[in-house]
Amino acid sequence: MIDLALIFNQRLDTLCRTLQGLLSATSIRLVYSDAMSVSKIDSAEYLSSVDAWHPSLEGHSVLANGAHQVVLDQARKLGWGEVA
Amino acid sequence: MSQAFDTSDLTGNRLEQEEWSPLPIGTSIRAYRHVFGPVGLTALLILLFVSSAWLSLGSPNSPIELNQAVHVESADDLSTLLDSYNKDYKATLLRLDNNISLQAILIVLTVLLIIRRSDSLSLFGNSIPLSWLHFFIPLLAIALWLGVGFILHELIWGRIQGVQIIKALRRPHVELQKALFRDAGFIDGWFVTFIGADYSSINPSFKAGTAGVLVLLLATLVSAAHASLLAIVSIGSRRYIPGASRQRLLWYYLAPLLPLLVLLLSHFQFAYGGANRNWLQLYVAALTVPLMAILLWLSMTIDRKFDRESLQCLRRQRRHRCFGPPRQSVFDPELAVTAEPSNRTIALIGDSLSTTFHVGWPPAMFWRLWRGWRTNWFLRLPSENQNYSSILRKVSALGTITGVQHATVSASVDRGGPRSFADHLIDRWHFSHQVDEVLAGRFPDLLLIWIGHNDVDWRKQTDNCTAESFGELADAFIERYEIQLRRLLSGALAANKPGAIVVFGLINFESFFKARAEAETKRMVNRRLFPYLETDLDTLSR
Repeated sequence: MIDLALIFNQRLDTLCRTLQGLLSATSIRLVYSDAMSVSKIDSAEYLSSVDAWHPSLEGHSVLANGAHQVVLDQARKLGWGEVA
Repeated sequence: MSQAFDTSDLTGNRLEQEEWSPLPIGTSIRAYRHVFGPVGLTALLILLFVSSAWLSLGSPNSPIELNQAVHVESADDLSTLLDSYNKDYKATLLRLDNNISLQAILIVLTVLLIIRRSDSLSLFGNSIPLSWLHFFIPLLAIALWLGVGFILHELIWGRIQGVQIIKALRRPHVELQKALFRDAGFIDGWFVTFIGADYSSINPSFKAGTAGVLVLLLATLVSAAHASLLAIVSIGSRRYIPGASRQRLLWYYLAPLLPLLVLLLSHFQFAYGGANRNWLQLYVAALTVPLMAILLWLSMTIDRKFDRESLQCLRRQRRHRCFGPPRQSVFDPELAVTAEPSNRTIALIGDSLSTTFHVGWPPAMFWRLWRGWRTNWFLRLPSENQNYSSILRKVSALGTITGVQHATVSASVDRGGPRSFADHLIDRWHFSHQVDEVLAGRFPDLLLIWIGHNDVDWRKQTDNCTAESFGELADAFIERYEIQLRRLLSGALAANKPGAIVVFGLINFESFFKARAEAETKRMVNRRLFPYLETDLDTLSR
């Protein structure tokens, strides 16, 4: 599963780059992000205390922190400025 | 629909294309999951009402079983009375014909309202808002229907009394005199079918044919009138009631209930109060449900082309709004440029890793299948603060934003196709189904995609753990993924506004299994920890 997931991620990256190239003249951006792939879900506390397979709330928080930057970048590129 | 998508350009050199070619995005009606909701509710209530009446009161009485019918003993002055009865009967028959004609017109008007192309009707130079008609026509339809009940009852009992008088007069040619009450139409059929040939002067051998005509014509028309009445109030609520999607959806379900109650009570009164035993009303009840479904489907089909916004309330209402910083900044001329419009949306396509689902006690697990979408890294986390908050909360620093959650448990990157019974049961929406949902609404400004974790279990797909077989699995995965991604991009381009799609790579399984190994170690020490750790994941939804 580990190897296959890595292959999937490489292919997704390639796919997104290719399609983004075709969209260059449009106002739509397609971005591949490895934010979730590098998030450190490496401790039991980040897994559900029941099945140890799905993320716990702490795990979800780690995922949110991981995805935060890329989402924020894209939001800003859409013109969503910092109001506060 | 997704399966109608042409995949011929997605094989071979698909990644070497040099130009973006728009592709059919193919939305499916399955994205509007609530479209037939009022039909189901109506059918359930009809079933409950009819079965309750049947179980508590039994079958309704027939008028000739009761001693309520007139039993005339003396023939004095009956000729005058018979003439009077006959005139009344004929006049009432005329009222019935007029009423039925009006109901037929209302059905046509309802269909015209459903397929309307604008929101107003120009009549003699005056513009009439069609929104009013969505609620006025049902009122008229109810008044007409109540009229039918009284007229029909009057005709049945008037005819019985008239025939009793004819019998009491003991004149020759009684059968010919009975013919005075024949209408060569619906009432004749009613008497042959539900009361008896003695009152009809019609050859009983025609009974089956008469009943067939009776059912097909009048009962079908009454069913269509009922269906129109119930459907148009739902449609009107969906189209015109102001407010958020949830409010519209609530009214979409609730609006038909009041007219339905009136219809049910009037039918009950006719059958039990009026002692008019028949099976025609059951036929009407049964036919009303599919006809109502057809009308709702028709309205959805029309509105998909001309009033798509009104259909938004029919999608899954899995959304959460996060309010941004105080609004006073909007009035600052310099910041006004960057102040947010209130309808910014960010959506997520994903699987169970984007929900709070976990394997456990089956009833609780079933609950989480349906309700686990609320709390997760994307939409919201409990007790949120600066370091512990969802993406939506974090991004709301840029302004008010609505998050739409499409992710469901056990979702995979599928080939497209209808949702199965199991999908409906566990509320599973695969990638193509989630894409349908996205495309069915206003395209989100920012779309996040994090799906594919249910596709990495190679044991389900191949027996070979080789680089070659993994390459084949990856090819198939990317092909399926690309089809849906292209549909999304076509939808984003069709929306004609700036937007962004972020595709997240799958989770780091290496560190994930490290965490799981730690959990296994802890469980070996304390068996109370991670009670469902060993549960076979192949048989459960992830």
